[in-house]
This record gives sequence, structure tokens and C-alpha cells, in this order.
Amino acid sequence: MKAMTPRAVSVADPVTTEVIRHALRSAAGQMKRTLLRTAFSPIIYEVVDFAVGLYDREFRLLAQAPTLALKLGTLDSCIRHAVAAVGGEDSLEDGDLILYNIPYFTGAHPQDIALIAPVFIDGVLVGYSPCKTHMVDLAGKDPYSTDTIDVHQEATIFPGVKLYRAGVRNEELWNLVLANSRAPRVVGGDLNAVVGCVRTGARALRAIIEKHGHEEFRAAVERIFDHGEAQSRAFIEQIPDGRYSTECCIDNNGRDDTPITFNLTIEVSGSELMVDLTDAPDQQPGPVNSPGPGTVSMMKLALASLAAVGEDANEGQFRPLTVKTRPSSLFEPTYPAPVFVYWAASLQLIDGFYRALAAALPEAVAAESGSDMMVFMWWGHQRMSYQRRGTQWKEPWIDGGSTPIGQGGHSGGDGSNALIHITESVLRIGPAEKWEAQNPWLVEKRELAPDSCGPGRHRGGLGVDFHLRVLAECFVTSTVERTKTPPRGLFGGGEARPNSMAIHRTDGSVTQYGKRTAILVEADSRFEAHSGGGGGYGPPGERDVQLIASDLTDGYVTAEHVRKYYPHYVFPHEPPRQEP
Amino acid sequence: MATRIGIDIGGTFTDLIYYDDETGRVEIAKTATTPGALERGVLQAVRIAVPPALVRSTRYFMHGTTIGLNALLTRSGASTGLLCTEGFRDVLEIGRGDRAVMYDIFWKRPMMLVPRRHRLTVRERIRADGEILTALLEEDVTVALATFADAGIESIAVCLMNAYVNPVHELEIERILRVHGFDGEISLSHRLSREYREYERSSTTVIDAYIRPATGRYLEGLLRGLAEIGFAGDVLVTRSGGGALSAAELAIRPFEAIQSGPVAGVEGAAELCRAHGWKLAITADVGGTSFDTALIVDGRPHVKHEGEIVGWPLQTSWVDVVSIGAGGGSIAYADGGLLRVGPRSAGAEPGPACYGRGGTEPTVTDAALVLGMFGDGTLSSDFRLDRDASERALKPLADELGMAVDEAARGVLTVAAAAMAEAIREITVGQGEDPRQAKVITFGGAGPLFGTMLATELGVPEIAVPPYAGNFSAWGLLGQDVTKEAAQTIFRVLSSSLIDDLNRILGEMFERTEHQEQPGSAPSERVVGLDLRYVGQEHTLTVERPAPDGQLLPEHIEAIKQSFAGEYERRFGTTLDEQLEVVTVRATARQSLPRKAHQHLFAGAATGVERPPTVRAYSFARRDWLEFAVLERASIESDRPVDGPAIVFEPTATTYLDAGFHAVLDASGALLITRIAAGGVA
Repeated sequence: MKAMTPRAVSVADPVTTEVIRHALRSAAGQMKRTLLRTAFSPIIYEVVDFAVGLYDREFRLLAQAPTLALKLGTLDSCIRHAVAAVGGEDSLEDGDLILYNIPYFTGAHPQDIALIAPVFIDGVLVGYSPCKTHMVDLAGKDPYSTDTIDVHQEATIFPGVKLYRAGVRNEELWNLVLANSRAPRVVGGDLNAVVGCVRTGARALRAIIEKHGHEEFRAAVERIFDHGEAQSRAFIEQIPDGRYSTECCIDNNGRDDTPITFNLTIEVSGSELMVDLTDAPDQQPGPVNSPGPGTVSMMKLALASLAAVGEDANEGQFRPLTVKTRPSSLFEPTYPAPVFVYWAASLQLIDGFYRALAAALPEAVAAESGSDMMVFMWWGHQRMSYQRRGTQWKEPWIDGGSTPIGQGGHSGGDGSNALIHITESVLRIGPAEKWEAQNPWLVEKRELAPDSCGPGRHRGGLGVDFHLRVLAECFVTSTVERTKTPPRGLFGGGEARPNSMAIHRTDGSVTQYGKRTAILVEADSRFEAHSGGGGGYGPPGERDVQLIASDLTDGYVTAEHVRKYYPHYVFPHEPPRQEP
Repeated sequence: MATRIGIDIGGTFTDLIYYDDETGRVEIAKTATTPGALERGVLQAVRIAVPPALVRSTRYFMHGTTIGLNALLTRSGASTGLLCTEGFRDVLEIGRGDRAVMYDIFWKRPMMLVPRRHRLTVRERIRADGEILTALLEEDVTVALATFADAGIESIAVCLMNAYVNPVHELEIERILRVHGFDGEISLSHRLSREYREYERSSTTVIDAYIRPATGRYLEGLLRGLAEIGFAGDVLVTRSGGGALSAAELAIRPFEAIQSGPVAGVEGAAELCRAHGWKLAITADVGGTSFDTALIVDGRPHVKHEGEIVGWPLQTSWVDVVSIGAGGGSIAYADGGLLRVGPRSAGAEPGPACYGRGGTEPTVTDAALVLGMFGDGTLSSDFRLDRDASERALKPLADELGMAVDEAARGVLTVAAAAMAEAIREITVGQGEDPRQAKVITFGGAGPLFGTMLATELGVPEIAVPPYAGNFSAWGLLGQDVTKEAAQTIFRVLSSSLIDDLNRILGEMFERTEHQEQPGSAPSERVVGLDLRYVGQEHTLTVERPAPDGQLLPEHIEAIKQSFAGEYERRFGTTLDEQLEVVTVRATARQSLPRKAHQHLFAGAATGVERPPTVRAYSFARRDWLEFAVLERASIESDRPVDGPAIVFEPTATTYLDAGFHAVLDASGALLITRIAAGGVA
């Protein structure tokens, strides 16, 4: 995936360019607000599991709103393939909305569905307004799965079909979508919200281009891209030329329990950066495969996080980046490979990217985080589980989301406690009071886990202990990764607690799970998730004793932990009896 | 008689306006803000501007204060402890698990207002339906209190799970703390908010506890100082959500006034809208460091029910002011061949280069001066801007961009206006309002410079520059209503059978919002608000209706449903075939103070500077340098419209009236600027 766009001669002045950049950003922001305000599913309005942006006619990113980072980098591929699927540009009409979810080209599981509005001015195609969002159920084998054997078990496939044709909804298709969902009311509500969202984006983009004219607009856009490109190149040039390599691993493929390892190799030459994943294992029989555009998106995100903190992403920033993958491998699976947990392996590439470059850029990177999103998806009824004793159909409630993890220590200080993985940077956890008001749950604990951090001169951040008492029978799918290999430290920093989850049943049994689909959780069972901490940075022996004392007083670490990892710390008298 | 003093504390200056309703006399003063002891600067301003006899006869002291905000910004609030439900010690720290900056791997939370060592848990549990699952263990409270006592905790926040439904354990904790001798401040979450979401409610409670002692001390000093100079009236303070609350209320609910500053100007603009019957307006308040904008619909500021201050959420009503770093002092720079403005600001010290106080970086004010927007730069008899200094500051920027200096200056103004327009789109289009239907009301020292540029950028036909534009925030204080609010989350499907429950809740809430009668003022106005959504959705829209006796009638239910559908359609272009759910019930009681007796023509003072009759300045509308007429605002007569291009001077602000616009002075003293429709305007 490399820049193949011919460089237009830049004629836009710096002022108009800045004016247009503001307007584009504001347009993307309007899309986000529209969807947040009208969605039905907490996965959208509470968790922000969607991506919106605006693209030009060549599928180049003009602007994006802060939405799910991982999804953002895949929208170009979604549009490109959706347009091709309906017959190319010539088959597009003003008012069309295309529905598309073939995972190998959306870069995600097929529950993530893209809706794309081509934008026209006076009959001329000028760009696209896309939104990709998670639909709570599109008739996979379960509402959320970790054990699928092919894509057909994951969701109904919409291979690029016009949900709206010239502004008119295709009612037959609409009915087909809803008929293929266990939660048609929510999916219908969410789809309507997405329709509003992409139309808002289309209107706003049209207004900007009409105001400035095609020529001025294109010139300004080129200039924005050039600016982004220069930023990335300046960053890459700091890295000495050479090959940087690291090994990554995941627990298993979701179907058998064998660990999978793979190499990440980065080649830097001048201001070009190439990521080589061609020696990755073959595509897996379980759903941990990462579709090509998703793999590329991960690497865009890794680069953006190092090269352009605080800056809006645009197409130009990714021009110096090349990602090489091999067809039918873990990072570029082909039909019919299962992909439901598409982030399990590819998410490891983020911390891998930092680790590989650590020797060259010790100040720019952090030690490893808990390295997973720890997604749990729940469903059921308040009173009756539809699967087991359902005599009367009732739409299930479906709720869930990610779990915050500890972040890695870095040259500037300790890692942050309890943040959701950077690939899902804007996602939010649900309020316990809201969950208790809506789901048959009693949250018994959601606290930082003392000692879960990796020790170091700058320690990692803490993970979280989350305990949930289930008051009525429900089901949960756990996607927890990295339970076998703890988060690593950097430059002598120590390892942190790895992720884990377990169910404590009323008969006293405790079962640990990693990736597992549709676990039956009986009433009064307790669900526990323990998220990993961040790895330490630098030798623990160099940690400032005042910071250790302060951590002890705050109960972030226990005396036992300090005795084990920080022998240079002298306890003033008996350690304070500060219960965690 | 309702003679009043308005005092607004800003970051740099404390502004005062005195207004005598009987004579129409107005006095203005500006003094340096005294950060260490804010009340000193306030009292100083009163002494300078208002003779003692007038202080004694003043009825209301209307105040916008930054006392709470300052305590937060400088981390100088109380040493605070937090009591939480067992299992939830880290609600404040974990928050929602998200980062404020998307790609920042090093992102850190704002520093905790309560460190973990002072966040302690107690065994107790209340369910979401209000039932007690685990009774409160008194021992845990006393053990925590011992820790707090050792640590010298002055203020205790209590936020328990589901206390928004049933506050019994919070009340019990307060009792235990008092019985065991704690005599500091206590903030109970349910007294501040009866809405769900434990993180947001905890944050609100902690902020309240954190700023309470400082607010109390400040009020004490202020009230004593005012009494000493003979003031015997009422002190009222601006709320973050609009309206004012009494000093006594502020002392026990300080979190309600944390965003006092930017709201006063919006309130003044809202009053202007009500007086003129304007349906939709946008405020454009440009100060030294920031541009603040807010939406006014039907004469009331657009209010949200959640605010945010220095990274912390607050469950309280909140005038939706969007603030960006684009003010008169914002610094322009080149970034890889692109021109950027702000958010870094030269502030008051050293200030823009043209102030001649050592500033060397080019600011928005410097660019405006180079373009002739301040005429020859003489603002008052003792304040003259240095045009050469501005050119010197702009030169390196212009060189870097390969532009002439005046071209770079145009760029700076254009980029600043684009950033402002983006913020205005956020508050208008984001709320389903079309900015082209709105009036833009510009104020703040630099606001009236941008009026015609913003009008062009947004397609707005009419701009208003209120009287005393440079001191308008203080002016805005004078017209506020005394406001009290209460809210309760309930989650119930809206139907006519809900009416009894609604009225019971409303009855309780309006009892809490009862006002002390203000002599000579109208009875309080009661408004019922329901946060509604379609069943299955999360986000709500608030439907309001006046309810003089604080109760709803069965027939109101249908009307409320229709209002919701209409509003939903307007905002999102569609309606749904679903039942409505009431998430939160809101009660608002507003009491107007005695109105200003009559509308004066507020002329304001002249600047007292001799100026040439015209000046050469750049016209953004014509894209050329033109001769601009130079006028004193005080000399404009109401029956003599002024045609652009012109520069209009007044003591605390300068209005840039571009070609193609003309201005008339209306009966209130506001300058109304309209685009000339036909006639070959670019």
C-alpha cells in the first residue's frame, strides 16, 4: 500500500490551505456528533466503536474525526472496493449509499459494516463520505465469536450493495439486513443513524468544495498532504538506516491452544520506512487472521503515534510508509479465512513497532502495554435467555466493550494507569451505574490492581481488577489475549502482570478462559477480569526512592512488591499497613 | 430602584460596571486582577469607580468570579479526601479509560485532585433500584476519618454507588463524620447531582469539595470588605449554566459557578436578544488569549447538562461555550510552509509586539494594526500602538512563507477567522442550527474587529456590537436572573400514567428551588424540563415547558411528545416509531430582578483622541487597500447610518466595518451592522 498519487503542482496559498483544513476537520466532527447522538447501540454511543472521515475521489484521506483509531486507517480500502463492487465510478449516482463488509478489504470482521456516500456536485463525483461501524448482530454463529472456521460463520456478507439508490431506500435490501440480525431493532436504529452520519459528511464536503471551487480545493488538499508527508519524513530521517526486527506472539488462534509467533521487521532507508511481515505464518484455521487493510492500518497508527502526536492524520503522512504482507498469511488472509478476532495478532505489531525501534529511538517509545483490548461481549435477557428456554422470541440485549490496561513506562516517566489500548484510543468504558440500571449485573469491583505494573526506573502503569456478579443468566464471549506472555520491559525494566479472566460459579468452581465464545454464565456467578499492567523502563534499581515511598503510601504497590523488585529501598520502619 | 454593580474577574483584568437605574448613570473601571487575594482587586475597583454614597445605595452586586477555577488551575484547593463504595476506590482515576489526545502513547491524566492515599472505601452497597444490599458499616467511616485527620484533610467528598437513587448512606456518613468531630467541609454527591454515571458524579463531588474552603474564605473576605465600604445589598454570582445564585448558595454549591467568567458575556448577549426579539444568535467574544462562542436560542443561551473543566467532567448545567486559542494576543507562526495561529498567546505580558513591552513574536493584534484596522494605532490619549514593531515582528514570518508583510498579516487574520468559524459551526451545525439564520454578537476587546469577516465566512447577514463591547462581560452581569435548578434521573417510559410520579418528583424539586422573594421583583418563573430519548437510545434531548405552579397536566404529555418529535426531526432529519423514555426530570426556577427601568441609549464615552478623518486600511471584502472613514462611536447618531468602509473607535474596543456593510445605532445603543444586499459588493 504505497503512495501512487502523482504529485500535483501546489498552487494553494498557505492561508487558504489552513482555512480549508479547518473546514474539513469541522465537517468530520459533524459526522461524529450526528452518529453519537442518534445511535441505539451502546457499542456506538458509549464505546465509540466506529470511524468517520472524508475522502477525495482518489480515496485519499482529507480529514477524520477522533474515532476508533484502528478503523480509521481502513476506510480508503472500504471505499475503493465498495465502489468497484457496484461497477466503478460510472455506476454511482448522487444519493447512493453503498453497504459493504467483505472483511478482506474492510480490514476487520464482517460485523463492522461500511456505509459509503459518494459526494456529487452538479453531477460530478468529488469525493466520499464513509462510516464504518460495529453492528451488534448480523447473524453470525453467535453475536460475538472467537472460534469461527470461516467468514460465513461470522456475519451475513454484503458485498457492495446499494442500500439507497439515488436517495431512495431499497426496501427489499433493508428488510434482508434486518431479517439477518438477532437484534433487528437496534441494528435498524443504528443503520439509520449511520445514514444520517454519512449524509451529514457529504453535505459538509459539498459545501466546502462549492465555496472554494474545485481548483483551489484540490491545490489546498495537495498542500495539506505535502505537509503531512514532510512531517513523517522528518521523523523517519531521525532513524539510522538499517533493519530493525523483533518477535511478537499471541496465545493461540482461538481454536487450538498453540502459541503463535511472528516477526516484525522494519527497514529504514532515508525517509522511507518499510514494514516487512512476509515471513508471517500461513493464515490460521481460527479467527485471529488480520485482513490486509487492517494490518496496514495498524502500521499507519504506529507511525502516526510516533511521528505526529497531536496532529490530525492525513493521507500525506503515510506516503513514506510501505507495508509488505504475503497473500494467504496471518496478515493478509484470503477467502474464506475466519477473521472475527482480527486484532488479536495485528495489535501486537504496535508494541512490536516500538520495541523494534527502541534501540534507535529510546526517547520516542514506551515499554509494552497490557497489549490487548480485552473485549468482552455480553448478551441475554433480563429474565430469560433466548437460546436455552426461549419459548417466546425477545430481542436480546447486547452490551460490552474493552478493558483498560496499564501502559508501558518510558523515558519521560511512569506509564499511565488503566487506559484502553492505543489502537482504540477514544473508546470509553461503560459506567457501572448505567450497566446496573440496564443489565442484570452488579459490579462488585472496578479498581486498579496493586503490583500489576512492571518494575523499572519508570514503572509501568497498573492494570484493573473488574468483578461482576451476574444476576440473571447471560452469555459472554471473551477475546482475551496475551495471557501466556507477560508485557515486556525495556532497557532492563521488568515484566508486568499478564491479562486473565475467570468465572467463579456458585458450585465453587473457577474456570479460567482466554478466547472463548458464548460462555454460559449462570445467575449469581462472578465474572472476573484482570487486565495486564505496563512493562517497566530502565533498571528498577535506578528508581527514585521517593517515588517508591509515594507508590507505597498510595497503595499502587505493596511492601512485598517493593522488597522483591527494589532492594535499594530502605523501609523507614515497619511498612505502613495500607491495604490495597 | 435597582442600582447595581457588575464585576467580572478575568485572567488579566478585573472589570467593573456601575449602573444607576434612575439616572442612567454608568461608570466603568478596569483594575489589575490580584491573583493571590482576588477580593482585594474587586474592592479596589469598587473604591476607584463608585463613590461611597452610591455604594450605600446600590441594591445588587453582580459578580463573575474565577475563584474556584483558580484553585483548580493552580492546585491550591483544599486538602481533600474521598469516600467511595468498597470496590470503587479508583473511580476518579480510571475514569472512562480514554485518552484526550488520540495518538499520544505518553498521555497522562490531569493530576488527581485527591491522591489515592486519600481515596478510601467503606463497606456498603445500594442497588440500582435503590434497595440496600449491604448496610453501611459505621466502623469503616470512623477508620477513614482517623486517616483523614492524620493527613490534615479539610474537606471530604462522598460519592457512593447508586446514591443518585437512594442517598441514605451518604447522609449517614455525614452524620457519622459530624458525630466524630469532623468540622471541615463535606460534599455529598447526591446533593450536587441526582444523575447516574459514577465517574462524572465523583468528579463533580470532588471538585466541589476541593474548591469549597477557598470559595468560603473568598466570600467571607468579599462580604466583609463590601460591608466596610457601606454596601448593604445582595451579592449574586453567575452560574456556569446561566443565571445567578446568591452568595449564601455559592458557599454550599461552589461547583455551580466554576465557569462564571465566559458566561456573563453570553448572558448579556441573551438579554440583548430578548430585548430585540432575536430568535437565534451566536456570540463572538474575542479577548487576549481566547475566542469564546456560544449559541443563543429564543433569548436563552444553549445549555448542556454536563460540563468539563481542566479535563474533569461536571454534572451540572453548563452554558455551551466553545473556547479556542485565537485571541488578540495569539501568536502566528509558519509550520512547514503553512500559516498557523495560536493557541500560544503573548498574553498581557509581554503582549503583542505593538504594545512595546518587549514582545517580538507576531500576534493577531499586530497583523490587524499593520492592515490599518486600528487606524493610526492611537487607542486612547495614553495608549498608542507601535506599527513599526508589528512590521518587524511579522517580517520573519512573511519571509519564511515567501510573502510580503501585509500579505502575511492578511493571512493571520484570515486563519484566525477560519478557526473561529470552525468553532461557530461546531456550536450551530452541531445543534442543528444554520448559522446563516443567526445574528453574530461581537464583544470583548478584539471581537468587533472580526464581525464583518465572520459574517462573510459564515454567510451571516447581520452583526451586533453591543454598547461597552470591551467591558461587555461585566455589563452582562447586570441583567441576570436568580436561578436555581434541580434534576433527578428516573428511567421511565413517558405515558399519561406517569403524570403522578412526575408531579411528585417535581413538587419535591421545586420545594428545594424556592426563592427568597426579592423585593419589587416578579414572582419566580418555573420551567419543567424532561431529558427524553427513544427507548433503546442513549443520548437525550431536553424538552422544556413553562409550568407556573411547577406541575404538569395530563394533556401536557402529548404536547411534550410532539415537542420532542419536532426537535428530533429538526436536529437529525427524521423521527422514529418508538416509545419515549424519560431519563432525567429537571426543575428550574428563575426570578428576574427588577428590570432596568427603561432602555437608555447607552452612548458610552469618547476616546478623547484627535484622529485624521480617514485612514488607509485593507478591505477583506474588496481585497484591496481603501480609504476607511474614522469615527468615534460616541458621535454616531441613531438616525444617521454609517456606511463601510469605516473604523469605529470607543474606549475599550475597535469596530472594523468593512466595505459593503453599513451600521446603524439602535435604541439600546447597540451598533447593528448589515451587509448591503445589492449594489456591486464583492
